[in-house]
Amino acid sequence: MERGVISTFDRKRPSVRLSYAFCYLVAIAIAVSTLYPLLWVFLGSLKEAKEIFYVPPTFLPRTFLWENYLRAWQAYSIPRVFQNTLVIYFGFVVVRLISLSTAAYALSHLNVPGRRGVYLLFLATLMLPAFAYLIPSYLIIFHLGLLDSFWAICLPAGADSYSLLLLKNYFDGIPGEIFESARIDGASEWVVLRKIVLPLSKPIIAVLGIFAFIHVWRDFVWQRIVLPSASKWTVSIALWYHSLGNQGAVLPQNVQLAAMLISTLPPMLIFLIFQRYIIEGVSFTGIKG
Amino acid sequence: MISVKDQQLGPMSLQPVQPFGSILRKKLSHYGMGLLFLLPAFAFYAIFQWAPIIYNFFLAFQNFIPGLPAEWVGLANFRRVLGDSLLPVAVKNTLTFTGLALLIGFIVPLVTGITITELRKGRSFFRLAIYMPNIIPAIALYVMWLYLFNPAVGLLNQILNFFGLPGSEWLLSPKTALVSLVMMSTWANFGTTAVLYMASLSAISEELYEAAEIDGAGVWKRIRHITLPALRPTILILLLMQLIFTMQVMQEPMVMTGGGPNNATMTVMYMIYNYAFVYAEFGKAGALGILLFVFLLLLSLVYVKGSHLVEKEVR
Repeated sequence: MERGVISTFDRKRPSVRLSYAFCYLVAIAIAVSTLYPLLWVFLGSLKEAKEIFYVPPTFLPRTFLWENYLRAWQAYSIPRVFQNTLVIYFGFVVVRLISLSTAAYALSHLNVPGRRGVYLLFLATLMLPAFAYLIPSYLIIFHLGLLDSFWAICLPAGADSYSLLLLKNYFDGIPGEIFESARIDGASEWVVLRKIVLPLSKPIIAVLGIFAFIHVWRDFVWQRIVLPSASKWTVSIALWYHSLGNQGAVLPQNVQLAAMLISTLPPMLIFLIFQRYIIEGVSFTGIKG
Repeated sequence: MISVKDQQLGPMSLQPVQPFGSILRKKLSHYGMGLLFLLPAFAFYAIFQWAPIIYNFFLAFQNFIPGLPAEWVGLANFRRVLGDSLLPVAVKNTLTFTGLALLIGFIVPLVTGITITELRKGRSFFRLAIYMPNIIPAIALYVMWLYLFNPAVGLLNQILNFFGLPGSEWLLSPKTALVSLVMMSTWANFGTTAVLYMASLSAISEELYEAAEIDGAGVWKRIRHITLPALRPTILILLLMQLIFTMQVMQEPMVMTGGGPNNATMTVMYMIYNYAFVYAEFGKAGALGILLFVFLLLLSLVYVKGSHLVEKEVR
């Protein structure tokens, strides 16, 4: 984009120049407000337990205690909870992709009676207050005997209107002629979907995969109620239990902060590597809306 | 989108005299594959999205403890829920939270979005910086903010002191606890909203601004008469989503304050959670869940009708 509200010509005028400078000031202030707390927490995570409670607080740690990270690694059983969360994520994505790519393909390129109505029926949940039926959702999991199983998180992933919307819109943009010849050659619809449509849809699948990762990694309440046993705990549950939940036995503040940063690292890395996809994914629905 | 097969249906169905069985078979072979491909998603939606909504209506009229047979109790759950002395407090807190979160959560992302879009250099860095909080896992966020909120050694009071202002008790005082949660929640979520505004902003045609400029409209006039009207659909839909989202606030008070101090952060959704998972009164949880669900549904309908959003939403 060449210009916004302010044009290049405008910027030559002193009064506008001032407000343009002010824009930078605001942007910097906002960036500091999101990034500085993270720096502060990082420095806190390296302090001694009692140094954290010095009044007035110190800025730089007097000694850099990297061993806090080792303690956090062990106390929060990081290897196990990371592994659990990754296994859940894998199932989550596979279920979601199978369920929603077939549905989106049908809605996009196959004959469906009352297509628009069916699509709206699926999308309706986008506007429903999902949390308000948390309890019956939990009871359905209970009745299905899925409590304390990873399936309790993976299977509901098969119904997500936001992902369906993204996939269907993307599939709509693939011209039907591309697979018409494959169909004439006798390829089944399943083969067309797997061999032609999905390979063409890598960007949108990447977006879904990244969002699913961030979701699984940050979700808490649902994981907490469906996974009671400690051996099945995810990152969120372990972090909650050892930092906040278990009032009697919370760990020292510096170890808590170290664990907090360890748990933030994987989604942060994903974000920094794939930021373009994320921003595009977010923006895409915005334009649709 | 209409596929090639759809168009063939017209002339085919005009053919005279066909035995019923063969029409059925034709229909099936015409639609069969599409229906088959919809089946998995249909099953997942039925079990995990639609069934809970329907189940909630049964649950509200039952006494139910997992493992024991359900017992029908008529309207008793509703009577007990509406008679709960905590409910008015929770409703008031929820509405206050929503009001504040919408006000701050509207202004901050809008200003951020417009400001950052104006920048000619470093736009992608700032976009990255404002989206960063959205990446942090929720619980990690709470651990971090409990430390920032700490009245004695937290960052927030340090900043206040730096400017010569008295520190606050933040989460520990009934007066400031709810506002503190709104602050944290805004910090955590404004990035997504701002990025969405930025996407709509970049879709505004430059020619509009140029024309306005030639007509002599100043920067503020351009924002008021071009930028804001162009953002209207996005603003309307985001406000609705934020409204639905914030009215169901629960996780923050549950984890950070336990609803306290003195119920200052008890919310409706948190009451529902407590009914079910602390007191094992699933029927009451169902009843209050229905009330919240129906209230939000009506609210959204009124909103959509009042703002003429509906044609915009789905093609």
